[in-house]
Amino acid sequence: MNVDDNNGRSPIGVRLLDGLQGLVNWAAGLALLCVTLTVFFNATGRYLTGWSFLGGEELARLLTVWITFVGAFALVRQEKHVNIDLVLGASAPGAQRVMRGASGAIGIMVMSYLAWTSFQLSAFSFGTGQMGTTLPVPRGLFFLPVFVGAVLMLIAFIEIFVRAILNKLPPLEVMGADADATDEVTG
Amino acid sequence: ADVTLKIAHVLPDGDPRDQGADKIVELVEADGRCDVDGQVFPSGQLGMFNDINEGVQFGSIEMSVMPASYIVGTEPLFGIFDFPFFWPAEVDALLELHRSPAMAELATEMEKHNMVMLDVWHTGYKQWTGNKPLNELNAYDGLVSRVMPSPVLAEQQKAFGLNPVTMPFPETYSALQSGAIDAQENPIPTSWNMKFHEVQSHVTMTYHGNLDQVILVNKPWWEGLSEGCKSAIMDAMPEANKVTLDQTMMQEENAMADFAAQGVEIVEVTAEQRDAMRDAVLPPVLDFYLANNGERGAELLEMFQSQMGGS
Amino acid sequence: MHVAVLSAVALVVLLIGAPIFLAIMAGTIITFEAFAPPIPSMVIPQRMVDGVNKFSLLAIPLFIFAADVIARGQIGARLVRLADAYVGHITGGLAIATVIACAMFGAMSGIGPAAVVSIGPLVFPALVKQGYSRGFAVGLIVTSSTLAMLIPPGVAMILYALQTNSSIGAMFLAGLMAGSVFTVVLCAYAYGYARMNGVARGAKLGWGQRWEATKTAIWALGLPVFVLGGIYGGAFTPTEAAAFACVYAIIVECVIYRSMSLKEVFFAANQSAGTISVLLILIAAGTALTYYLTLSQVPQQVTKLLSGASTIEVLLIINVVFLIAGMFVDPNSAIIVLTPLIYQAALAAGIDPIHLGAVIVANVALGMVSPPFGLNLFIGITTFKVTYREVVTAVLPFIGLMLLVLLIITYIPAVVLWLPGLM
Ligand code: NA
Ligand code: NA
Repeated sequence: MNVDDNNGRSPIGVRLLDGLQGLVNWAAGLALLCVTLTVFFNATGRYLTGWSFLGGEELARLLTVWITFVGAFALVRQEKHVNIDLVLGASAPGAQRVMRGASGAIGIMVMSYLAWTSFQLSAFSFGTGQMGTTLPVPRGLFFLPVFVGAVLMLIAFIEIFVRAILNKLPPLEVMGADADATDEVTG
Repeated sequence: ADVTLKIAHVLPDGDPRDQGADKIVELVEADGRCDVDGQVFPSGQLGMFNDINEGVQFGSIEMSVMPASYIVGTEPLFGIFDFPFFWPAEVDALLELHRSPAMAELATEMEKHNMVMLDVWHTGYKQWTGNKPLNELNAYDGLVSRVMPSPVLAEQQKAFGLNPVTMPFPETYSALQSGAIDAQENPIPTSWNMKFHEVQSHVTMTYHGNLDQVILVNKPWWEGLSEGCKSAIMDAMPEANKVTLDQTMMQEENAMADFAAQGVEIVEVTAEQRDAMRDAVLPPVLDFYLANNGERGAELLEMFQSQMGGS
Repeated sequence: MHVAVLSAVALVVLLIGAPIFLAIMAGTIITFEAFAPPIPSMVIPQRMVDGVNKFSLLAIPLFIFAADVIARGQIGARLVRLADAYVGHITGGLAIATVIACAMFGAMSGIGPAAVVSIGPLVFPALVKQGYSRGFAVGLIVTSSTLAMLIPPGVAMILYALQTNSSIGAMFLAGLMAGSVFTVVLCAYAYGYARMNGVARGAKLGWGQRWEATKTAIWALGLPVFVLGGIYGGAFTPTEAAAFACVYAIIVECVIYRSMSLKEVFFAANQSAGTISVLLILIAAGTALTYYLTLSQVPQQVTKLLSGASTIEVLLIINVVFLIAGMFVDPNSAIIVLTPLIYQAALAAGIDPIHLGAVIVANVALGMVSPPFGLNLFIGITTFKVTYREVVTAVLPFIGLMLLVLLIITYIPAVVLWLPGLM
């Protein structure tokens, strides 16, 4: 999101978020590779030698939960989540600005709720001392990513909301590229 | 209604424990002492094991019917339920033990987890299925087995000489079929419902463990109930317990008849073979349990042992 | 009442173009807080995590990653060459080769649009050069690409199986049958089109050249062989097969074809992680929604509403509902939100769960190419540089064909059920 570039420099907050987004992308890719290799080696290990790492399955699930909730932050910032842009795409620029600002505001409310409830849930789970079923880590680690992701998405929605007010939203992508982020698959 | 009662479990509609849960709702709703709105959520509709446990702990679910093995992650002392060759192999003796002071003592351990344990329901003894007789200890050597995600059970299977792997229950059938897994342990009705006998040639009657259900309720909810509601629920419990037991027995009979019809070999285990297996498998599991549960574990174990010795 | 509020909130949030997961969450949270009996709110994030914390669900990210690797490498190109070497000389040969290449691609990829971008650019110029109209070429490619959803492995089928606790393996076999029927129908149409329009044929290749094409594609062909063989031979669960597909594709592209560097693999993983998060957070939100609906007894009410309806009537309602949904939302969202609603009713009407799954997946596959929002239409627009109007006109005859296939598999259950029945 480099749209504040009247003179080439974005505000420090935006650059910080850009950096965070890059870090999240990088970590999510790495986590996906770990998931792949864990499942792969567990399957081949069981097939070839009858041995497998008992907690491997749970580790792969844990990483997937983290990818889901924390990775979602990067896509909120890029406005790449699956949406229906029928009305949005057909609206005048002024109306688009209002609608995107409203999306930001709704995002702020939903993510505040999710951050608060997932904080309660994580605190509860860490408090019980419940461990994973096969992986020797607290079960709270499965809920923590919701809290982390919700806080990050809250920030991202605040950014969208503020940009809508300041009229500094990045241009909408062409219809189609924005219609469904599954096009990510296609590179 | 004054009171909401959501009962959650993970087995399909119509399963013995589902019928037991239905019975509770039926009796308590009909009971004039308690104005209750009851609903059973089968098939994991409110979540699977961990989610239901947490739900009963923080109060999104009032009651659960849960295999004791799945409580062990929350309360390691409950690992006692998973002991192999420990519990009486006769149902009546087992039921008596369920109602014993030792069990009541164990139940108090749930209170620190914000739950109250109201009852234990028997849903069958575990037997091994495999592609050969498993009545001798050395028959287990090196086989790959499916294990429920419980550390005590993993320890038990290692003591048998097995290589335990965790595997989602729905995928177990095809893993047995292909030989990715050689053996699995479950009560007869479960093995039958999951059609494991289609892909396994032998059922060995080891009666080595049981898969009993504990009935848990959310503690603040329970303590907030009127005396009328509490007694209505407690009075419904023995009848629900019996419905589940009778249905389990009936399914077991049907399953055994079906096994015979389909040419599955039923392997009996002699007392000597069973003793030999117990002597090899039980001690390491007891050591594991005691190592993880300290004095309180030893105390509870002793209570159960003297209960059984005395009866 | 509360369901009306939920739908209204979700609809408004959807219409202003907010993310779908946000719309589902906003509707669920507001109605949950307003109408549900006092239940601790932390159940909402708990249900969301549970939705994505499942071993069988891991197949989805892994197949997405595999598709990403394949789409960047050479496996697609070699498959096209192979199919063309064998059928290029018959009437409609190149078009038939396109369908077959998409079907083979579908046997490695679990998602709809991947074949459009990996097979499409290879065959599109050749099809136009041989005299097929641009519209036919675009329509053929975007429609054949939906075969990836039907022919196993398929993300939509896994999602359905997870929602209904059905066997993924049986679902795959049903999808294989539906996909095969559709492949045959598409090939027949391609033949008829070429014949009616007098499209030129390619030269017939000798067996030596065919062997050459087979040899260059042998590693690519190994992928579906290992994946499906591994699943049905029982060496792997579908989830493990997906991990195997990733590792196999990476090794083939990086080591054997030398078409990708490890750096590009990591880049693909970054991209896939984004796609995965988009899809899985939708599943997470859908699980919270399903929880609220279950709590409110909505599926039970739908069952009651449909009780007394015949099997045919229920199937027709399911067809219409999923078709309309598929026109507006992506296939996975449709499956996540709608399946739990109609599943009990369908069972009560005596519909086989696996048959129902095949019908639903075929419906949402059709939704991928149905205006106004079929995802493949937009992928087609960006890939082939055509206008929205062009692509919509181009797919219309193909939509007719898909409807035909849909009717066949909906009303003749045996077509999709005999293979899983053998399992
Ligand atoms: Na009553
Ligand atoms: Na596929």
